[in-house]
Amino acid sequence: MMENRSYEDLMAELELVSKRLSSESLLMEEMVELYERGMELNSILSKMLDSFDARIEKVTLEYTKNEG
Amino acid sequence: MGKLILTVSGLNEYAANLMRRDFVLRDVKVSGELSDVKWHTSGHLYFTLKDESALIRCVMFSRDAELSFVPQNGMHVIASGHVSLYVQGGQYQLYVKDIEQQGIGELFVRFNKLKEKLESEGLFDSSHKKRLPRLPKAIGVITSETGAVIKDIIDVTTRRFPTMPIYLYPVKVQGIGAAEEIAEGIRVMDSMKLADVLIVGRGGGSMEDLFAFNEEIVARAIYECSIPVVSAVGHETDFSIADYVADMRAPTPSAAAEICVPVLEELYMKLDDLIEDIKNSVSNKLKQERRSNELMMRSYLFKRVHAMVGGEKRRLAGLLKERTLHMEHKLNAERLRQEAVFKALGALSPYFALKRGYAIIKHGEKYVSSADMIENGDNLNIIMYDGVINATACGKETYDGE
Repeated sequence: MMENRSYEDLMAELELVSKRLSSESLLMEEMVELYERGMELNSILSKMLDSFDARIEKVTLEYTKNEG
Repeated sequence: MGKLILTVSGLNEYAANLMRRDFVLRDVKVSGELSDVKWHTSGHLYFTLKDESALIRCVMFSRDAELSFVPQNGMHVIASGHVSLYVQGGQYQLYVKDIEQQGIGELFVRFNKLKEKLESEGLFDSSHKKRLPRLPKAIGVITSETGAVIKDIIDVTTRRFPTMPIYLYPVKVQGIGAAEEIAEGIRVMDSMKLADVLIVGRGGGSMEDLFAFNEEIVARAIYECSIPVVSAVGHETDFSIADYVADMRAPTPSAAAEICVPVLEELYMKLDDLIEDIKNSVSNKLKQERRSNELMMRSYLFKRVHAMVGGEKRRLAGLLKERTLHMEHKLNAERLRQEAVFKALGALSPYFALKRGYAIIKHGEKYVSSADMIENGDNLNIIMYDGVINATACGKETYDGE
C-alpha cells in the first residue's frame, strides 16, 4: 500500500498535509482526516529511517553466486 | 712503436669531440622511462632514462627546463638533445633540450574521437540522466579496494549516515583489463540491485593512469545502467568520458559520498518539524472554533434571555445542539453538546434573570407568564431575587405582538 512508495513521495505528501492544515479553512472532518493521515505518514517515514542496518560488504563472485 | 699514452683529460676530450662530431649523437631523440628524477636547487633537472636493459644519465639545464608537465618517475617520455661526455667528471650523459610525454598525443586523439562519437549518439544527453534517490537503501562503489577512494567514501558515509550499507565491487582501476572489470562491476551491481546508487571512480593520476575510464566499454555500461551512477575519476580538474556519461559527476570521492548520502540527523529533524507544524495548525484551528462557538452562543442567549417559556428554552437548547454538533462533531460532540445545553439552560435559569432585575409573578400556585392570566383584584406574588412582594392587580393593558 503506502509502504511501496518512495521516501520522496511519502515526504511530499506529508509536506502537502502540513501546507493544507496551515492555510486552508477546513471542515472539522477534513481537518481530522488530514491530521490522521499526517500521523500515519510520520509513522511510516520514521520506520523507514530506523530500518537501516549498517554494513560494509565486498561483492565478489562468491557473493554473486549466493545472491543470484 | 709504442702506443700513444694519453692523459685523462686528453682521453675525455677526445671522446667528447668524437661524440660532438657524430651526426647521430649530436642531435638525438631518445625514448625511455623516467627514473631518479631530481630537481637541483640550481634549477637544473637531473634524471635517468632507461629501457628494459640499459640506462643513461641525463641533465636538463634550467634555461631549457620549462616543461608543460611535471616529470615523474615511471613516465614514458621522448628526450631530445645531444650525447656527450662531461670532461672533468668523465660522465657520459644525455644533455636534454626538450622532453615530451610519449603517447600522450595519441591518447588525446583517442579521447576526443570517442567523446565525439558517443556525444553524437546521445550518451551524454541530460535528458537521459537519472535523478539520484533522496534516500538510497544502500550505496554501491566500484573502485580499487586499496587506496584512498574507498576509505574516503566509507568515512564520509559513516559520518553522515552511520547505518547506511555500503557494497564494494573491487576492480583494477588502471592497466590491462581494467576497463573490462569496471564495466563488469557496473553490470553486476545493476543486476543485483543491492544499492540504489553507484559511485564509480579512482584517485588522481596521469592521463594514462585514468584511461580505463575513457574506454567505450565503461561508457556504455554506465549509460545502460538502470541505477543512477555518480562518477569520481581523478582530481577536480580531470574530465573523463565516464564523467560525461554518468548521471552526476563528483570532483572527488568524498564529494561523491556527500552527493549520494543524506544526513540522517537532518532527515529526522525535518520529519519532527513537519509533525510539529501539523500539531500546531490543528491546535490553533480548534482554539478558533471554540472561540467563535462561544461568541455565537453568548450573543444568541442575550437576545433570548427574557423569554422564559419552556418551549423557548427547549427550542434554544435544540439550536445550540445542532450548531455544536456541526462544529465539533467528531472530536467532542457529546461533551460539548451537554455543555452547551447546560450553558443555555443556565443562562436562562430564573435566578440569572432575577439578578438582572426581572421578576417572576405567581398567582397562587400558578406561574403567570402572560397578562391574560390575571384579572383585576387578583392577589399576586412578585418574586424578586432578594424577596417577594405581595401585590394586587388593579388594572391591566394587553398589547398585540411583542
